[in-house]
Amino acid sequence: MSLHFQNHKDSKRKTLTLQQRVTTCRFHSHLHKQKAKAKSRRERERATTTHTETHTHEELFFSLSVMASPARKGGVSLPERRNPKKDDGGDGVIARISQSQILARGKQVTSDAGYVAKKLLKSTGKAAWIFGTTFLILVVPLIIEMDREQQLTELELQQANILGTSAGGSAPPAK
Amino acid sequence: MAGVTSTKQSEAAEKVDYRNLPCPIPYEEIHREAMMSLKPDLFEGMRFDFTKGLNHKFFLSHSVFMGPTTIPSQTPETIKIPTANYEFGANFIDHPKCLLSGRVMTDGRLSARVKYDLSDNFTLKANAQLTNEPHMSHGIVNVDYKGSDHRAQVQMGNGTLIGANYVQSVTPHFSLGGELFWAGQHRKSGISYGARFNTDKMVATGQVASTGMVALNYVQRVSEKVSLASDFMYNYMSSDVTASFGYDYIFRQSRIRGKIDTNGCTAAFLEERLTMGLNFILSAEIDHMKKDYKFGFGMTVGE
Repeated sequence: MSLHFQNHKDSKRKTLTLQQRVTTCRFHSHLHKQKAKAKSRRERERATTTHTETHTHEELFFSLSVMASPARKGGVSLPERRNPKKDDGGDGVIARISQSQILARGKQVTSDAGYVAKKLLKSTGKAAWIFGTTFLILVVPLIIEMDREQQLTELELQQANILGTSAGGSAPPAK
Repeated sequence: MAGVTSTKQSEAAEKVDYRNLPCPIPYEEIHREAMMSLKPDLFEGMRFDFTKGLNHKFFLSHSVFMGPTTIPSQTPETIKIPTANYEFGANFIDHPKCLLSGRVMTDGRLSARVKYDLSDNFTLKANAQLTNEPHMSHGIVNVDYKGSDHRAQVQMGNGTLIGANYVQSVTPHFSLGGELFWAGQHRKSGISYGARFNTDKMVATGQVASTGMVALNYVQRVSEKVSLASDFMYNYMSSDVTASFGYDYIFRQSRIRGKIDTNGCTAAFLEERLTMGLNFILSAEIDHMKKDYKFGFGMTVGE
């Protein structure tokens, strides 16, 4: 019913004329009757609260949001927009695109992907930490000690060489 | 004819001489190689040991330890209390026959060890630990008999602890043993069996106890400097399984041991000889599951 009403309001008009405002107000009052049989208590509360407000501007935008919410699942409602930047009003092409099903699905998928990516990053970080600290404890001292051992053997070999050559070098001249 | 008899003689020499088997390792040391490689004494804090020889048989030891000690708690949280103590010890070693050792600590604990060779085959050992807390002191006396290819031991301790064990060499590489004990104070008795197979390059041992513990371990000497060890422990009463793998590198100036566990625990222990008579010790233990990190350093002065 609300969608039908949307199509009824054409995208041709740029600004709201008084007649259209009256129509929306009428629809708004009609909607209030509907709200008596509404399923969500929250919408009813919102309707009762806005019923006490007297600004037509706000009533208009609330009607838009109320109309839009059955199209969205889960009862999520948009915050009230105070200044629409678009000239073509609330129910133009941009609004229709932003309220379409595909975009909603797209947003859901991106948020899921973001969630999974964050979890993956966290668990990779944890694994890297565990691997890094274990490596530091088990392998690094071993490498240091092996290097020292190798230096020591090299030094001893060098010393042996020097002693060997000096002994060999000194022996023939003595003869 | 002569050729045939000579080949028969060489065959007989290669066959195992079952009357001349080597003496086996004592039953309580059946896991000795694996324990040495996989269970160094890790500590947390600072440790300083000074050993001074007054005589070629008698020496004194002074030891300072400062660091947190973990007290067992029921909650999964680890509770550590900072402790500091000084231990004075006196040792008399007359190598083949007699060993006497006593240690006393500033928190009131005294421990004493005596090992005396009554004869060639009989050895008497005694071990006592006395504490300030009531009912926590205990002492135990062992009498060992060493035969040509078997060993037997009888133990008696306070709290009516009686035990006996026996180990026999079955082939030059394989030995089997068993142990019985009865603890009067806790009204518990137990029996356990052990087997050990060793060659020049490897040692494999297994032990099953009636307390529910099954322990298997294997140590392979990869080269004269390196040995690798692995250990598997399973408790069939409480379904607790732990496996650990470790290495033991012995260099000329240092010895480094590292191990990793299936409980998410890795440890490393380094002893390095800085100069003659001065050793530097580093110990590290990281438990990733419980997030418990223990690091210690120390020095050992004296031969």
